[in-house]
Amino acid sequence: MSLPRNFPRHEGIVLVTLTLLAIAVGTINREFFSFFNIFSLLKNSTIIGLFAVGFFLVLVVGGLDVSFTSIGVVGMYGTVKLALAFYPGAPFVILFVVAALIGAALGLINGLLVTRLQAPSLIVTLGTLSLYRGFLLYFIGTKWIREVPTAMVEFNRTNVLVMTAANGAQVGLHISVAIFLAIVAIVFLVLRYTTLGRSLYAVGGNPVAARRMGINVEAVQTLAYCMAGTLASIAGFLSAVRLRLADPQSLTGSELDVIAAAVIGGAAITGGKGSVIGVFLGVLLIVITNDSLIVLGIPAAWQKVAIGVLLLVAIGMPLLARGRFTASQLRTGGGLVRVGGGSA
Amino acid sequence: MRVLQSIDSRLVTLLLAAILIVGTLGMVRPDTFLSPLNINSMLLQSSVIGLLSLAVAVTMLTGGIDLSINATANVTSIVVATLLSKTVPAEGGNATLAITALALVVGLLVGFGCGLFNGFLIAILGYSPILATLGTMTLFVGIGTVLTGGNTLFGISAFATVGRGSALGIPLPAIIFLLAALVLSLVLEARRFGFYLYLYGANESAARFSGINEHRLIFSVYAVSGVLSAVAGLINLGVTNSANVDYGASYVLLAILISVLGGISPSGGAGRIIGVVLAVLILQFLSTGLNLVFQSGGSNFLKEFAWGTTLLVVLAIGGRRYSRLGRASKGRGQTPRTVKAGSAVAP
Repeated sequence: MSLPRNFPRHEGIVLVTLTLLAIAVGTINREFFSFFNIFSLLKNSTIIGLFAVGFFLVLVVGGLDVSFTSIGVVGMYGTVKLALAFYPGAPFVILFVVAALIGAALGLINGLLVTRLQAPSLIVTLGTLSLYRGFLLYFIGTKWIREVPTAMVEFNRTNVLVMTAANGAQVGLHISVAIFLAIVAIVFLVLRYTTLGRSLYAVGGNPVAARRMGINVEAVQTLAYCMAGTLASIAGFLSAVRLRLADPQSLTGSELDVIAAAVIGGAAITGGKGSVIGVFLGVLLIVITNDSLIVLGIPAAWQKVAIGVLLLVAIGMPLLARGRFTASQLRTGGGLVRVGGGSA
Repeated sequence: MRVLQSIDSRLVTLLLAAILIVGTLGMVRPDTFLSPLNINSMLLQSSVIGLLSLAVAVTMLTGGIDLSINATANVTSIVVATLLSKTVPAEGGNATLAITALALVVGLLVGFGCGLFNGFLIAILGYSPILATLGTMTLFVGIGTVLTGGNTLFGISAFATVGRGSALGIPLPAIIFLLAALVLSLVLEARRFGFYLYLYGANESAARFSGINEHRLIFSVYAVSGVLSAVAGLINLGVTNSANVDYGASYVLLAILISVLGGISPSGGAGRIIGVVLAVLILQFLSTGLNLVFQSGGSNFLKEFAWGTTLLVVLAIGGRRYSRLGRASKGRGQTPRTVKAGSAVAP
């Protein structure tokens, strides 16, 4: 595994880019480094961050799961509907667990379909993307729910860290940021130090070798989709908590930012690569780019162009690092280089 | 080509499905479904999505994919609309034939350029098709947003004669779609280019070692995809007289669904254009049928649900056929790339 040797380098590049961008924006606008702005940047990162970590887990096993926004809205709307119907006074923990379970179930369906149908996961999850969303919107409902359970409203008022800003105002770090950071930490530890985590990388790096090592490849892949679904549903639920509103038509359209964040963070589409830290940095880069273009004097209309260019450059980075651009390698064994990339 | 012959059973299935759907809907709603007006409207509606499906199908045959089709179509219509609004006086002004022809050429060139850019990323830089076209999709949408400022450009009537016209009672857009399908079909099944393309899709390494100019093939395939998308964009401009960067956001999924439904193997190398044409018609019949039967609101969401289910069912039925092509490693990864690379490692 080239992981420890290769990836700090890629994450280093992302970190340097992020720092340069922050310095550039910070010199133009001093407010950038205020607690208020940093806290709000982190808050803006949580939802796409949770999606991105889930998306990344599937990338690690060599799959692509694009159904996350659908799972997010189903988890969000389903949880709120269930709570209002059966237990409006439910404590927050129960709501959170219900959302996680809905996501796990939908993720499990994804995983089973991908491993059983033996079709490209992009196409399978494109199918479930519209299946879940269509099911929710046609059979369950399209209306906004403004009267969300009280536990959600109260939870939304919680801050974990209150700082006093320069002008004396109190600035709080929203609790959803803490949940996000905790999940990042857990996923980091699981991927790095547990057998399960190493199996995910093994399956993504080389499924045949993983199978011969005695790993149940299908089970590990299914589990990755299941975890991704859980995180996506939690993300959807937290977005409803933050808005105090369950809107079944929200979230769609944020897919690209999420995929861009994971890829920019160094996850390879062929699987077996990347780290949660990289994804976290990628998310921050995307969020700061989105928030800061205006500060840098770039019109908002250019936002998509910027993300597109950033994405295309980021995809090219690992290829460049491996010398993939040299003509000789192109001719002789492009495909082989990419698969055996673990030893490059 | 044994691969092609084995797909014919699928064509028969598709044909039977089409007849079944038309028959059922014709009996349930005889006055509306089979009226010439409805048939014309169905043909018109299926031409844009049909062209986009052809664009996806041709890249899928190589084991790749083009997610930027709809962005290419929109950026084409936006560029053309901007050009026309600059050269033709507003309200009441008619574009001269020369300007319309110029606009047409510019539009096709935009699509060609978008396709070449995809081809460059995939063939020369070695990007995986999914990521490359995902990135260019964002980029093209971004360029479209910059050009329009996020607004809809309207009142562009230069292509209205094509968009609204018909010949022999058939809408012109439908004729263009069928012609494009026919030409593509002939090229793929009777020309050397098509043979190489199927070979490359079925086994990338074998194609490379047999001396095919891999770069030229990939460039051509994505350029064809770009031009087909551009034609879709121009037709759309003709039908709606307007251009917008958000138009048809759900078409990417639908085009992939149609290709897979039509028998194009997502891992490449198998499937025929005629299948795609049948699949377009089937989905259009179904879509119109759902609208006729469930006239109350929300049928769009039901459609979304139905598309997803149909795609998964088709994958389930076709699953064995696909996996036979990528047999080499049982524990293959899920991306088409890995499949082929895996088979390259295990002899």
